[in-house]
Amino acid sequence: MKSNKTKNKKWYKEILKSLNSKKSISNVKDKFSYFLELPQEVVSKSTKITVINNDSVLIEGYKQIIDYYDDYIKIKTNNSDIVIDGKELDIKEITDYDLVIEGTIYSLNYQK
Amino acid sequence: MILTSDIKNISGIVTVQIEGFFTERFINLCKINNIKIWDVRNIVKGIIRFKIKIGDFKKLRKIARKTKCKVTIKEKKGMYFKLFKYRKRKIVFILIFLVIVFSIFFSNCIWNIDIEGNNYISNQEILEKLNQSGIYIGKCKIGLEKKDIIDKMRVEINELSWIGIEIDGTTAKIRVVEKTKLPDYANQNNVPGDIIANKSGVVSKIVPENGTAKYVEGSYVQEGSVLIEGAIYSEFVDTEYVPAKGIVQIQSIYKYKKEYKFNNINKIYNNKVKYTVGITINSKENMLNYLNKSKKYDINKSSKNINLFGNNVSFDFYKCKEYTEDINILSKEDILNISEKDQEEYLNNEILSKNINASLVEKTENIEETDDSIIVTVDFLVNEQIGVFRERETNE
Repeated sequence: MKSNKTKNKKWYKEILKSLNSKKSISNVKDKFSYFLELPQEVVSKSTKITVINNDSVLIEGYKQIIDYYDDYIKIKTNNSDIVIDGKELDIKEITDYDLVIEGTIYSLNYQK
Repeated sequence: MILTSDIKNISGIVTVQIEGFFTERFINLCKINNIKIWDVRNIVKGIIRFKIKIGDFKKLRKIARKTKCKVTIKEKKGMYFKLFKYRKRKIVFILIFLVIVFSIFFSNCIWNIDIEGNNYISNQEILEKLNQSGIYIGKCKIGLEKKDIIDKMRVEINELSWIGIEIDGTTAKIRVVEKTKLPDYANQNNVPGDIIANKSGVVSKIVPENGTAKYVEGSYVQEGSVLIEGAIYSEFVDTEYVPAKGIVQIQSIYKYKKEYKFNNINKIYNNKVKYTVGITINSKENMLNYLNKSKKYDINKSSKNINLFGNNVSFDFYKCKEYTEDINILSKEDILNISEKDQEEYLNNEILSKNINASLVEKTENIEETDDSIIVTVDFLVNEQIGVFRERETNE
């Protein structure tokens, strides 16, 4: 009986250990996704940015466009704002979830 | 290409220009209201252009009012606008309707006939018969009775053993299989006659299909003797003379003999040619000889004969090709290998390919070694089909 109890305890402890393995992950959702090895952007409302060369940016999971100029675009996401500097920036595609920006991109910055 | 892009954008696409202070808000509201926009371009601050489907255009009014923006249409693209433009010209719509009707009608006709599988029956003949049977260019494929056409074709062309018709779009694919023509020796003769042996040997198989066999298996037949007689004898009815038919196989021996020398002299010509003349009187040859005695020559003689006072005189012209000798010494093993190849070549080229249904039964090899050569003698015992048809001269 004792041995069974100790085994159960060990099993529980192992899960806890794995959940607490990364101290930097504070959110429960993040912990869960880390434990199940799921992509973070799927579980939590985080933003995924894909940059192709310096002429195309795909932003998945944005909230809204704050500023839109020919050489400057500011986009609001869940955690921070993204500022894209460049030349002749066009919004090639805009959907509920994705945003594709094309043009000559000089820099991509985060603003809190 | 312009037409294809128009068909692609059949629903109509509008390029819209927005002017106002809150263009970003306009874009965000479009996103919230599920209005699909693309190719958003910032012309100057406060003026943007984007593309939108014509169906969503009316939804912009509410957003424009909210954001206090001015909406103007800059470009219209697509089939919708073109049709709208010509809406009062009835003839355009009639033409479009006719094009659709004609394309549907003509796509139901056969415009190409593709024939495959024929070797000796010409395409022209098949096309003619198909035309008579009911398949021709311009024929409507709806209600086509393939089975009837196939039956008619098989009746019309005797050489066909099978025919298949497949309609693929506007192409009629005709697949035919022709009857295999029998070789000449297998043709049935209608005139009474016998089968005669064209070779000597021991009979290994005799199967008379029509007529009476004159030999039994194991007996020796001479060339020219009757193998199967074209007559059927009966105790009860009179003798009936028929064209003899059957299969006769004999076993015969083919001899192969060749001498292989240990020292093989190969002549290597060095492209040096000398010409000389001579005269021959009563078979006594006199040649103007200036050839180098230390070198060897291959002499070709061409002469012209005349009869002079009862004497045979010929003027000769000699062409002397200079060569050097290359002696190639072969071992016994080498000679046997060469002999093996020669035997195989002889068997395949001279025996098996030149006789009907020939097959090797036995091979007896005899090697005789002399001082300077090896003599190889081989006996090939071959089983082959013989017999030629000969018409009976007088009916007895």
